[in-house]
Amino acid sequence: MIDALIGLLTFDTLFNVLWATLAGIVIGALPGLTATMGLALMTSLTYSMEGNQAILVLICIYIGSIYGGSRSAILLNIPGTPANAATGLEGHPMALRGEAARALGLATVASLTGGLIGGISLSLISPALADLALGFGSFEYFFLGIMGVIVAGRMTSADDPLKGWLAGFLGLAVAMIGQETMHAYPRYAFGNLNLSGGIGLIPAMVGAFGVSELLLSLGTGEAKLVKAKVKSASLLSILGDMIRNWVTVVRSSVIGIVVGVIPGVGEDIASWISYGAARRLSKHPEEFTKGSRDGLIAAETANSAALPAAIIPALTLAVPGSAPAAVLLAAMFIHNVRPGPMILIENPVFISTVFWIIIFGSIAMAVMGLMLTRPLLYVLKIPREFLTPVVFTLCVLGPYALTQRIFDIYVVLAFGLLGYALRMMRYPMAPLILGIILGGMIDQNLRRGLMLFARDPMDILTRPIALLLIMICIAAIVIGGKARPGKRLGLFSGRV
Amino acid sequence: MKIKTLITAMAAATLLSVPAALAEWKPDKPITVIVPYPAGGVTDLAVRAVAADLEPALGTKLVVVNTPGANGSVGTQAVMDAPRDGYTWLSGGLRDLGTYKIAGLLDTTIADWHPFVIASMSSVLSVNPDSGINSVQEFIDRVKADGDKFLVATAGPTSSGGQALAAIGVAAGITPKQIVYDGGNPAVIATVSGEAQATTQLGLEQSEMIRAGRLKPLAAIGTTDIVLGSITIPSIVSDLPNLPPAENFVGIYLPADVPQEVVDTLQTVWTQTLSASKSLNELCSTRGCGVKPISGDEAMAVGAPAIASAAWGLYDRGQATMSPDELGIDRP
Amino acid sequence: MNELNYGRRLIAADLLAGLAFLVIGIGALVAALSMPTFVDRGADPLTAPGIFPAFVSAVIMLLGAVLVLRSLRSRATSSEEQDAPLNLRPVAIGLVLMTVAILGIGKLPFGVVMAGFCIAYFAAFVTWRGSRVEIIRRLTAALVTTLIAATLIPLAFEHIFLVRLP
Repeated sequence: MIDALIGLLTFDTLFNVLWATLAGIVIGALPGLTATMGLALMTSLTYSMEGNQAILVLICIYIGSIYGGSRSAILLNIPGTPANAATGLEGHPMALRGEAARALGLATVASLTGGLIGGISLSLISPALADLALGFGSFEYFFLGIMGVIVAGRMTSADDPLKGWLAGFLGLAVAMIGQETMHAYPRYAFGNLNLSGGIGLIPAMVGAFGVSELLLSLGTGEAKLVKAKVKSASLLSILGDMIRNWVTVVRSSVIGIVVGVIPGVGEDIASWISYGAARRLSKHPEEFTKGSRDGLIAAETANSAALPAAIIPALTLAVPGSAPAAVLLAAMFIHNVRPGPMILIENPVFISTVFWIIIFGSIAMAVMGLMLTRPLLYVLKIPREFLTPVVFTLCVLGPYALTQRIFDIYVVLAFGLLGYALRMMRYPMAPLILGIILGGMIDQNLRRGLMLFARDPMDILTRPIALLLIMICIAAIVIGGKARPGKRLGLFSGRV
Repeated sequence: MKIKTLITAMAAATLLSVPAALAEWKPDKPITVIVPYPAGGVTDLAVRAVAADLEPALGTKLVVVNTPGANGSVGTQAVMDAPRDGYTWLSGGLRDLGTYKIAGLLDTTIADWHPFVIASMSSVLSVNPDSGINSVQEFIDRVKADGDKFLVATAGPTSSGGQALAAIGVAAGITPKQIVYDGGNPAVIATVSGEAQATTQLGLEQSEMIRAGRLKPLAAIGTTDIVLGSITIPSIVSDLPNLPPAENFVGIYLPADVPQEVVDTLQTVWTQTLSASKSLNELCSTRGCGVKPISGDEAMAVGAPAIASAAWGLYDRGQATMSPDELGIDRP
Repeated sequence: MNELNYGRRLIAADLLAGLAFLVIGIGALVAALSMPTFVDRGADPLTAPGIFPAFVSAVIMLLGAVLVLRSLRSRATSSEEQDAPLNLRPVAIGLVLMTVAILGIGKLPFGVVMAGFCIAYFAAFVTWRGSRVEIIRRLTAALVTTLIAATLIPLAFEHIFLVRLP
């Protein structure tokens, strides 16, 4: 542990941590440029670096970009990465109230806390967590997906549940477009190759949040983003918010770590589930979607705690816990680190090294994030008509950069129009995006699960995680119905 | 600065070794290499391993872009749509590129491309250690006895694992039940966790689990043994001599109509650069692939049996939209 | 919060949207049910590609039907005046500009497309009336924005992120 720390304490480390974290924050904050894209790009650019330094750069980019996505989510209501969509749900209303400084600061401190707790869990209990990852079979993934659908319903219960469910199922339907992996059958593609490749999550998200936001702002004709005077917020009062919501911090960290460890399920689902849990268990559920600090903390703590956890299965099973971790895994192989079950025996120092990198990266992220808060607030002062063309250019180029397909730019426009129409009719966008994230996962694991269930129906009783997830799903539905009966809207309540 | 000097020196050294008769291609902007599969997969790993070494040889950056979708056909189409200036390269499996047209996915055949093979990839038949299976024969017996209760994890019928399983099925006269996952790694993990009992995914995807004893390798599905560090996995041909070709080759492909000097330049540096590539050799010697830096007609000749076997396999399973005969692919 | 404050216009929109969802749901359901099961290739019928799409489209169909019924039964609780004024003209202009720009990408150099978009956008949405000083200020801001959107951002993507521009 100490050896690994001493090995890292060089001027190179400091320099690389600083620039890589800053680059990550910028990449994350630009709509459509995601952690995956940043890592894939930097893998090419860090070939010639020394192994540990290259991995340090990549992890710092990863940390910076998952955090950076919260900046644009709060300020512009355009989540920089899918992991920050829940952040925007609470952070942007805060900004509209003039509390942008507090929202930015709160997201920073929450990300730092999540990152540190996640990092410590990586160093202390990664072998045990790796076994948890192995416990996730088809049943477990399926019920995790169902939990996500319940969260989607939860996110909308305050307003009009029917429209929330419609948006969520529309998202699931969008995820069905394209070739499925089991039989390579192109669903809803109508012979079009682009459609059989599927609708990308990133262009859909940038369209539904970004372009539709631009169109809505044209309709309102407001000159500035925020009418309210921007209030300042001291670091001390932000820390006070964190301490007051310590239950949420702890719960979100645990959710983030557990979800992050599961192979293939990353920061985005972690932040949604944590957000859904915070909303269900909150003493003030009525504040949610109107700028709840609790909800903001839940989303940002969980996505940052999920990040180190997503690296755990990459290290100990050679199976990435998230899409950016997959690129990180490839980079480790290039730099002659061989992740896998043998790493704990063959190269234990490396795990400690990764731990220290995460600690350094998280601290650098928080320091730079706090320093950037004030300059970023100027974005709110730019008149809209001059901000729109710049945001539009980013919305077009960001998703294109990821796959370099022109089709993805058309998807941005189509979802911008769809998002505008739906938002004018008061449909929430968040369930739509969550549906696109979950659709493929639920579909694949439902079919595998059915096959396994037909093979041995009793097998599921021997799977504790699956049973636990089933109980959580049932509890969420049953208790949800009883907890606030007065506040629930009947679908047919005559006067709507 | 030092690195830059070194790169220049290396580039100069490489240039000197080029025969003077060939027109020289000096790229003046970064080259995009499209990987039509997700990041972290086998193609991605192999391409990223060699990209670093090709950069000094060509004197420009190689940018690896992942364009996944529709079994690699979305990324392949993107390269087909790009300008034919030599700055957009495709990567992926030689067998997959050779069967897109037969599978009805894309209107392209291997004749439309200049192949540059990086490595050969073989599958490994492995079982979960708790299954109590110790040999290929025991595996065959168990499949016959258990029928649909015995599940073999793959990444889909057209994936390497699926093709290898189909080859075993043909050679042994069995029809193992396949359970399909979203990729090679999830299929391997499912076998380790016991959801599936066996897997036929690539050795590269299984290597760490085999070394850790979480998977028991029974045989390499191909004509040669696979070496993973200190572990040697024997070839399956001693048990199943009639095994159809099940190997695949990962490589880089240039559209046939790019300027000739691009092809010439890459051909001159290819074999030498890749043979000397430390990261590629490290990847293959520890994770079970074979370094095979060949190009041009040689690559075509090596790939032909794999393509023919895969094409006729598709046709026999009813997954083809046309007969391989129409493309001049003879039944092996 | 409990009572949705819906005007007549939104209820009419709900009726149309509900019908659209109903049609989409039925269409997607029919397509899902006609998807092959691949049983003839030896696949397990429980892994058929149409299972989950059929479920999802059936739910969309049902929810769409509920929305149609609900909008038919409900009465407006807020008058037209209370609804935010529907200002579709600037949205339509913006949408047309965006569509033209996006269709132009790949046919013209990216910087040219974005510069054209910016100029058209400023012509349409910035008021060019007022004192000379104000106009000069706005003109400068417009020029700077065009420079950022059409030159700096594309250059950054091309040289820092190594993206081949369309």
